[in-house]
Amino acid sequence: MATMALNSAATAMTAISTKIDVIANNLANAETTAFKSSRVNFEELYYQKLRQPGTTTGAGEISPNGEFVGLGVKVTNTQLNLEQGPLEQTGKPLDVAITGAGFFQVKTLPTVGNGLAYTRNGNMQVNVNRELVIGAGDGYRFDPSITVPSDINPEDISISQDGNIVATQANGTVTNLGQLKIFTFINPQGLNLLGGSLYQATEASGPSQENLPGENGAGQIQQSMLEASNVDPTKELVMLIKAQRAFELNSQSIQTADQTMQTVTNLRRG
Amino acid sequence: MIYGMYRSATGVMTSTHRMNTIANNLANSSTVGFKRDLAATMERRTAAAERGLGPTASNAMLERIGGGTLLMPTRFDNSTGGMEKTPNPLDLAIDGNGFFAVRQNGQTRLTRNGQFQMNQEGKLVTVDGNPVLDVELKPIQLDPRIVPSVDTTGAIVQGGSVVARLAVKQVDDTNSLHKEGMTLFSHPAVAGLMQLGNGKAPGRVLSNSLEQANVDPTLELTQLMAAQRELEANANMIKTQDAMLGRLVTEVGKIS
Repeated sequence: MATMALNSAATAMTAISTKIDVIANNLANAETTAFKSSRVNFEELYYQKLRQPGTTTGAGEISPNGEFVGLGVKVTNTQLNLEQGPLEQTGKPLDVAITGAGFFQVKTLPTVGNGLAYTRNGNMQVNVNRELVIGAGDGYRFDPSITVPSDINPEDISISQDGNIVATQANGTVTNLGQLKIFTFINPQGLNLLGGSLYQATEASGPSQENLPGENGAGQIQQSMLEASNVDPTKELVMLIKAQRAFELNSQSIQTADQTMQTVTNLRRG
Repeated sequence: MIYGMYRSATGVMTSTHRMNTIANNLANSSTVGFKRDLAATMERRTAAAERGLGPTASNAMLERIGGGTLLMPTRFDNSTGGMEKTPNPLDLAIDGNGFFAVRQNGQTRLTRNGQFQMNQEGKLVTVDGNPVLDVELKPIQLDPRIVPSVDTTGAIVQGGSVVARLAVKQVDDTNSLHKEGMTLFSHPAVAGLMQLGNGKAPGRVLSNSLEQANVDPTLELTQLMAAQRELEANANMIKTQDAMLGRLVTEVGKIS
């Protein structure tokens, strides 16, 4: 009966509503620093074989093709779009952006993963212990941590493209505070999304690899810049429109299947 | 009389099959690399003719009526879907009559879905994690430290040199392909297929692109409406014949 049509359409409506959820989250984060958009991948479900190819027909011929009906669609996975976001000038000395692949490593709560997370959000601040922390989440410290001595004004800090942090005080004293490291992954699309601009290494992403900025294809550091979200609102809106229409189309399949079953149910005269 | 009722029933059944197929096409209108199925029907010969019995006096009249309708073997429409640009360099599409080769549970399968990724070991895999195969139908091992790129011939370039060449198999007779789900096709002789571009047919691999489903919603919805009405027409024929049978049974031969 038309229940297969009903089920196919239902799987599609479920999958498409997931797509709409993901697009809505992308659009909601169109202004989030260092946000990476996601996309939903779809794939067909299995095919029900009504007749196998190669069976012998009544007339003794071998049929070259079989009869198959597909059973709908499912969400395969969501995939991170790790394209570089545009850089925005902020004028603040403690804002840094990564141009190229790679992440900063920060210390999180020991209960989250192995206590390490990764971010591209370089909105840095100095906390009460004079350590550099990122502005996202709960102010996680960099790993390896970088301490700003109490006599140095954070406004005097300059960060070079290779990540060296140098403070030049008004009296001419130059202090080297350390170097920012950039961590890359073999398969960054396999990272686990923790929210709050944080990502976590997984079996799929492989372990993090420590690099100096500019080394081994890792990105470089740009001071007084922040990486904006890589969401393209035009593209997301077009995808949203397409998803909504696809949703409506599948509701038509459901209506037709329903009416058909009604027609068949009413076959018998009372 | 009952003979006609069964034939109307076959009409209802084939219309239902067409609706199921169209619903699946519509459900996959956003699936990358999906090819729409065609649900064709054909005339059925009478049971006597199907069994190879010669014409006899008793069935000569019935044979002229025909035996209702049957499903044709399922075929799919191999036309190319629209190309969509993506930011991912390992999103690949094929311009031409070719298929990528992947390995699923030890079987070589063909697909037009080029959503590939490099996994943590540096293997090129599909979104399901199945290995993507090279021209010799072996899994592709890449250097995990370098971001790969793919040129129009299907060669994978890392650090300026070609490290592997993707299998892009040219399939001339798409009727020999069978759908296995997950946008994968099986072919009886994958190893014997030619690499796309080696034969006469031109073709190239497009990087940063994905082939969308070749489902046209207008066409599918129109066919869905037609299938529904056909079903209703056949259902009405069943009702009419049932009514006639009812009168035959209750009124003819009534002793007044």
